[in-house]
Amino acid sequence: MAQVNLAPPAMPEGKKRIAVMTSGGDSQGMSGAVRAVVRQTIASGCDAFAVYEGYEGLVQGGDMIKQMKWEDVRGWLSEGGTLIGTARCMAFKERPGRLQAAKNMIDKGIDALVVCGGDGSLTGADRFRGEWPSLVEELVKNGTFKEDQVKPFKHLNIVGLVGSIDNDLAGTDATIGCYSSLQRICQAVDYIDATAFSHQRAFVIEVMGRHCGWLALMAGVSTGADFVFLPENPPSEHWETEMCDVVQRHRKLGKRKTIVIVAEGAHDRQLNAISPNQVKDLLAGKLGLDTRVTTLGHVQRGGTAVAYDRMLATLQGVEAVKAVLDSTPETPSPVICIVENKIVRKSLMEAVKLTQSVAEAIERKDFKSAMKLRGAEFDEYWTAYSTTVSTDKEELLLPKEKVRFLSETL
Amino acid sequence: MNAATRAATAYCLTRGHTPIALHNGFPGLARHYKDEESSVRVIKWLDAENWASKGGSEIGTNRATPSEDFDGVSDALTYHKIDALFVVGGFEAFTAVSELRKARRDFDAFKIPIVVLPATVSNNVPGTEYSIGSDTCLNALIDYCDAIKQSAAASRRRVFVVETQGGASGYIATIAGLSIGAVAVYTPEEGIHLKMIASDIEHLKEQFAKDKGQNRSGKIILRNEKASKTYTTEIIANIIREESGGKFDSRFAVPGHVQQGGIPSPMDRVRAVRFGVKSMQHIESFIGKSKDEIANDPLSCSVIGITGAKVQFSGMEKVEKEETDWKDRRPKNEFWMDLVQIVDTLSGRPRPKKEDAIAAGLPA
Repeated sequence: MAQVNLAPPAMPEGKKRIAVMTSGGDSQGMSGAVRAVVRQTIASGCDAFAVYEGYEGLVQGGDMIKQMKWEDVRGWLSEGGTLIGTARCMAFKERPGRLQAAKNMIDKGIDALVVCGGDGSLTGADRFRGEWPSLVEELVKNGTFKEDQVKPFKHLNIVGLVGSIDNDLAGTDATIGCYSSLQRICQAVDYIDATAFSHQRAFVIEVMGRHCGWLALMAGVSTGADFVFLPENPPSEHWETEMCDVVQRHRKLGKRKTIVIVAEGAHDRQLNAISPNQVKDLLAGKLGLDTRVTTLGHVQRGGTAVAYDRMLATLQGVEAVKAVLDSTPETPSPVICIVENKIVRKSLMEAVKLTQSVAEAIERKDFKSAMKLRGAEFDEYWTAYSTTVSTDKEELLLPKEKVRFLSETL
Repeated sequence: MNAATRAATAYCLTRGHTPIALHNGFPGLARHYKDEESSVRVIKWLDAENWASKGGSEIGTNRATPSEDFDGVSDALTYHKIDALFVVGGFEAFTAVSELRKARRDFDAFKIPIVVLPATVSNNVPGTEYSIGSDTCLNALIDYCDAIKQSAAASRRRVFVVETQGGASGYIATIAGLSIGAVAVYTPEEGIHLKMIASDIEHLKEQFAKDKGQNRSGKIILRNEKASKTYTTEIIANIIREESGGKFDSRFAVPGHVQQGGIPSPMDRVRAVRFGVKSMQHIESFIGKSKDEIANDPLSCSVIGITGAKVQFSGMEKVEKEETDWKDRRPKNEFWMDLVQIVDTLSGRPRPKKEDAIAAGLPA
């Protein structure tokens, strides 16, 4: 005979047991988000839980789903990465794994889950929510729980927080971790700058970001790099000549150093990958520059979060708990976003869909749409970058009658 | 500041305008515009090219405003045929631009497009929720607090009272409080009173009583430099130590100008570039307009900034009249005031009682 589990009694009206989980690649600020969710949950009179090691912990249950007390998250804002761990989980991709996860959650009486992760992790969470009623039904059918035990667990609330260094989710201006990662990159480039200047060298720097060029573009803008390669907006068909021309012009102006930033997902307009070594060979071969490649790698995920990410993690964590308490079975799962300076809730699946449409546009070589889909801010930064990096492009000059020339002024 | 100047310079050169730096603010302009080593100099690209990551201001800055010598400023602008003005700075820059706008009645030279880009660590410029430099300041402050917290945790049972900058605006203190998990944040907007301190000491006592020797026990109270005339940072630390009943220790720390300096953060840099370029585009939109057409357009003298979910230009006149607390040199409605409560909620601090604040003669 199947053992009948005893789920804890339902919480009083309006109160919930809220679990928080970090999933996917780690990012700076995730620990701060967990702290905010746990404390806001407790401050709202609810019980807080942490799921350790991402979806793996959800499937394994037991001690991997732990009730969190106020003091358990003390000082977490100043910690990098995620202190509750994250892991890849194959089991959760299959229904039996998700069935087990549902059972583990009901065992602990959890009826809401805040997931902090990238678009893949958030999609998984929303699918889990959609499947939830049928999972619960199956758990009753196979005798794990009795009908009246699952009554308080008819619906699962999911709220998404975007934790990622890539800043690749559409709908939010920043993901938790992206500005910390950008800080690591800029710091590295600033260091490299000094030696590049000393030796008149060229440096090709590869930065992370998967299909998203945000880190590469922002690094280009903030360091005044000579050229950037983005997946969304590849250079022209003749990018080899284009890049060499730009670099040569800058050298002729008197620049002693050259910095080229290559996003890890960079490619040409035919989607052939552009590697840092290819760029290096061009700079060295065609222009005769002493060129080095620096791949920043996991340094970009490292260290503690910058102020902005801590603030974002905190405010979004608080908002996530409020969203859980506001949600009804009818509301679509929200994802907490930031638009300029405003924390907002958006539909999780719409944000994910929009994000995927960027990848699809790139796949179709429709780069115009890809740029547009990345959002107005991204496009604005691109314009800002391209108008400030090359001060000698004929086509960008205003007609003569609209400007006052140097000779007239002085 | 440099990143913004660099971006504006690059944009001008790209489009064919002549970028001219006015060195050392308005006094520099008025006094030295005819000197051989003139304060009015064309910026060459190679000079500005490496400004992207530099702290401070390469073209110098000055707190004095144009009203000290309107004639001089007007003469200088006319002499050098300046067609537009882009001012980067804090509350003084805002005040300066406000003065120029008001003086347009008497001086034709000021009837040119003028944009002010708020840049100050205090983030107290009306018309925006974000000033360039404030993010760099926050990062310097949280690094400082992290280090202090570690030391406080190592020596156990110690509370640090850290004094933050920010002038009469509690923005820096509050956001830093959110970012480090401060026990409490004392702002000029809320003020400090005895019952508040007493209640916070009670709270600290409870916290320390519960402490079972777990990690990360360092505690920090952030106090803005102008939060109170009487209850200084040192006095608060002393009161806490005195009243702790020997159960815990308290020290104070003043990071001072650490908060002003250093390499600008990437966020400050990218936003400086974006706002710099946007400002130039805004100025370009006035090309071909007459002096009076310009003077009659409220947006011809504006502040660029973030308000809520938007980046926008706001006409100076409206911002000056409706959104500025001139006495305390800060915006009237500071968007972050609600965030003080979040700092309290997440540190478990009981909110100071409104009636106590009112009884102490504070605005509450």
